[in-house]
Amino acid sequence: MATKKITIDPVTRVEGHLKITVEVNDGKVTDAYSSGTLWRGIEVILKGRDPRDAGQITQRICGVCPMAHGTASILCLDDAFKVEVPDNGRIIRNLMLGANHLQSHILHFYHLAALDYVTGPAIPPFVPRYQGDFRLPPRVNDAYVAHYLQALEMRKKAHEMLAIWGGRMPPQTAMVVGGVTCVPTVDKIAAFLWRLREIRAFVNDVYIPDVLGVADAYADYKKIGAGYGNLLAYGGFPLDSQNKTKLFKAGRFTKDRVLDFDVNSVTEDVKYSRYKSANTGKKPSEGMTEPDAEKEGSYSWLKAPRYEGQPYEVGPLARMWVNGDYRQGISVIDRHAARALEAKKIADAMEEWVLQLKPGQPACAESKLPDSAEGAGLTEGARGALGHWIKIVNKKIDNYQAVVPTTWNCSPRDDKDVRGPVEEALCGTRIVDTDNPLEVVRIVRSFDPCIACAVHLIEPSGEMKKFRVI
Amino acid sequence: MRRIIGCGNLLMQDEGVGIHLIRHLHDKQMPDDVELVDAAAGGFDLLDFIEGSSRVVIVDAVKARGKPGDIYKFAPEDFDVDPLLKTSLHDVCLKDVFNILKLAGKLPSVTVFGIEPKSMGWGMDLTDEVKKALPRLGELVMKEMELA
Repeated sequence: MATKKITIDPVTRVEGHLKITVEVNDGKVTDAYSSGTLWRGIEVILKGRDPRDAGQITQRICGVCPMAHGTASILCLDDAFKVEVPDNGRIIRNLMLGANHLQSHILHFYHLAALDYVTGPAIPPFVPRYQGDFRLPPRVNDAYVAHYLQALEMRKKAHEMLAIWGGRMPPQTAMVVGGVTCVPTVDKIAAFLWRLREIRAFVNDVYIPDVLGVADAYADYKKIGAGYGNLLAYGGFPLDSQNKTKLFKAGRFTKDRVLDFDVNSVTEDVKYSRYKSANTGKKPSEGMTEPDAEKEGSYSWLKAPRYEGQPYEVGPLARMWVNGDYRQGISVIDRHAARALEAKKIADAMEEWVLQLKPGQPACAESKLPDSAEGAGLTEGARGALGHWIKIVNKKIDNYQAVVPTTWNCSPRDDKDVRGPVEEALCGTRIVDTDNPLEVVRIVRSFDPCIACAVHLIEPSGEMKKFRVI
Repeated sequence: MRRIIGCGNLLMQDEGVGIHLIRHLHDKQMPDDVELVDAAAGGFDLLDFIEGSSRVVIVDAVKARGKPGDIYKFAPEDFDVDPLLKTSLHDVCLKDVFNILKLAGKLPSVTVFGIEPKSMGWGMDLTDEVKKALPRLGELVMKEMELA
């Protein structure tokens, strides 16, 4: 039987531009290619700037997770400036990042992923959609629309929680080297707490039950989309000023064992990426971003990050697994379940943290811009392990590199021709209807990809001339 | 509250024109009930700013096969985006935001001003063509809000 090629470009409802091509033989995926179609160019903008600008500028990389980039960038500057953040500053940063995780997880499920499993009414934004395998009874589908709208309220509350400290959202303006510019006050703590309690109730009473409902109805997806089973977390949400303990510790899981993580084992291959091959296999701290759009054989603007040469999946499932909070399995359903349970873990921790704030105590430590220094900022964004690296020469940025979670998950093949995690997760999957490849989109979306979410352009279909203004 | 909302990515040259317009308007006198919003690149984040507003003007880059710097003016119902597989999230987003607000019965009177970009590579400055159109765009937005 002939090979049928399915290309989904871009995968809609994924934050950013992602092209997935799968080859199907006899109804089964035999090969897959994941291409990021946007060039990662933040390094080009930052070179030569004041290092302190990085924390603000990098937040503009992404419209969905500016806080994660802001956090990685500020941690990387703290490291380069050799400054220790006081408890208030550390906690407020955690509260802001936590608020961003909550809104992101809720948004991902209700407004991106659930639409693969639940049929809303036949009006936009619930149509157009694929036809076929939708299994939930009408009662559940009806409730879903109410939850969809409720989730929007929760997302808004999470943003308000962030803005209490951050001044605005998106993107916040409070994080600076050494801490934050805002100070904790009793009224801010109270304003934060009541919103958090509403979100906790939503996570416990609506979000988790809804994910479990999908898990029951689509139980076969506990066996679909496993991939390599390699999981990696950089760790995030520091619990002390020296960053010794974290809510999520760093670590990795491979071949049935949980192992330590050492940042020096991370390298990036570019054999199939649209960058000059001379720069392959480098550590991110030494990485270069020199585009080579026409390079033969290349098919992605993403590099291929590897740990000791191996591909790893990152994200909520990786974090929860490494930390022993979730070990049910690795699959499409497990990714959604781990994400929902992680929302609970983070929200619960946030309530403890906010009550640890000490009004009247400092939230920022003074620091001095070094002449020359290097720094690394490793954290956990909603979508997984995120790292920024900076090199400062003569008080200016000499090199800046960011390795984002989706680069790990949606990476192309590496120098040894080994597929990236999403590509591998797709292989072997049975596709019932190649015109409605629901299995493919369900697998891809379970990873919650976000390809350098950058362009927000309106490109209308049809004629626009009549709306031209002179 | 009436709101003038600029959206776009400040790191991608002309794609960030909405944000540049908001910064341009910062120098103008505004009545207390008008708020200028830099909504960055977050599609869903627009919801929070549109909902609860009495009147909204949105400014964004619009690729409609015109000349760089061309200005378009339209309403939410005037444009559509290609269906599921042929379009990107970023096309879907603004239309999605309108659809969601309509679904929730919370869509106020909205006017969208679009401007045709020339280049959307990495960079924090507008191209000359788009920069030149910025004052005119500012005047049109002020007029739409009955501020000039």
